[in-house]
Amino acid sequence: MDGTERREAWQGEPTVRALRSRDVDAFAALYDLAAPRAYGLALKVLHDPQLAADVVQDAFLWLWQHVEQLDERRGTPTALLLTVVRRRAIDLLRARANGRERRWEEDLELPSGDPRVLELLESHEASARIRRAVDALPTEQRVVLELVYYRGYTAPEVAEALHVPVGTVRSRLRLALGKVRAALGAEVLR
Amino acid sequence: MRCEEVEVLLPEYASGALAPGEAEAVREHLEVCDQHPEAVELVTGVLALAAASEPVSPPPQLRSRVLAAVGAQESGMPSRRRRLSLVASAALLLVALAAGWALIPRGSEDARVLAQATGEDGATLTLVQEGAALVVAVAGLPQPPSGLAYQLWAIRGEEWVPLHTMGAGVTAWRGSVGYPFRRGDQLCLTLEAPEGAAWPTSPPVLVASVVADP
Repeated sequence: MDGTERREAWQGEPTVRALRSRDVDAFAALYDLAAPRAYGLALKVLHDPQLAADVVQDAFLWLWQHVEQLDERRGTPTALLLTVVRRRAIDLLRARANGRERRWEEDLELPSGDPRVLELLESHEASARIRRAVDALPTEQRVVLELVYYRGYTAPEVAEALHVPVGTVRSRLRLALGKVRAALGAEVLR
Repeated sequence: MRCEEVEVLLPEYASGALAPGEAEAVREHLEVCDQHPEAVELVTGVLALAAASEPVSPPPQLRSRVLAAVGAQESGMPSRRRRLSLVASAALLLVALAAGWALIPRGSEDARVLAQATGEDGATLTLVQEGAALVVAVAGLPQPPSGLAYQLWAIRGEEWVPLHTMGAGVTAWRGSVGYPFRRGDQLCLTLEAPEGAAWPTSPPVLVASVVADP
């Protein structure tokens, strides 16, 4: 299976090609498929339904405005959408907390992960497995993951907050992400 | 950036926690170096985290908000293919203005002004119902600053929906919009980047309140 086929493997996800042709129906299908995950992610970061809805709307519009520039050899539309949702949610969170808004210019090119993760996580069982893996992390790793991934802190900021060396923060983050990845099972990246 | 530096930054890179410049440097390195198999693993872990968030049904009206905004952009924001014809239309419109022609067919029984605003410099922003269509007309604007363009918005409560971006150097526009305006909404014009913005980033240039339902 080549990269393109793999990236089209998530059942029902419109292809970049369909979106790039500015097919509103394909975009509506993407909304139906991805919005609950996007909204759930925004809620997890923001704990505010109104702000979460605004972020999701903003992310979908951003995707629509940039869809002609998307490259189907990299990440799926949903992966990009979720990345934008998280970053914008964190921007809002930081702005609300201390006025330190950090505007990300979203990358059109995602870091390359394995897109089959989306296909796998279509099953509730696999998603639950990931959540259990996070819950099972040692406290020090889970705290770092929480602060970096869901609160948007940088490694030096976390190090300062926790009074540990920045190398320790990076090491804990690396271990935490590795365990999350491992919880996906051996079928990914085999 | 050297391999050792990339290795150190990989977890933050995968988590999206690096500043854009650093992230770009790591990405450029990974494009040409195959010595970092862990990068894919870490990014996959992050993607799993995002996708494994408990799905929550968004508010039912969010779908229509998103699709209405997309539809408005699609009807208002020209594709590259249509951009030339829009420029031509704008040129014709300016000729019409110079000749003193009215933008709004006030004599028509089908045309009804729903919202109108006039700026200190004489610029006008108008929403007109023409039969089943809602038509926005903008005229007499000063030249936008270099690198900016006028963008039209519909405002309902706290919600801003982008309708149309007029393009760099364009000071007048007339066209139908797909947004379902109703009494109490507002029509607004701001200065944004020429490709348009998802949210307003500058104070309104003109605001017109919708005084009647279509």
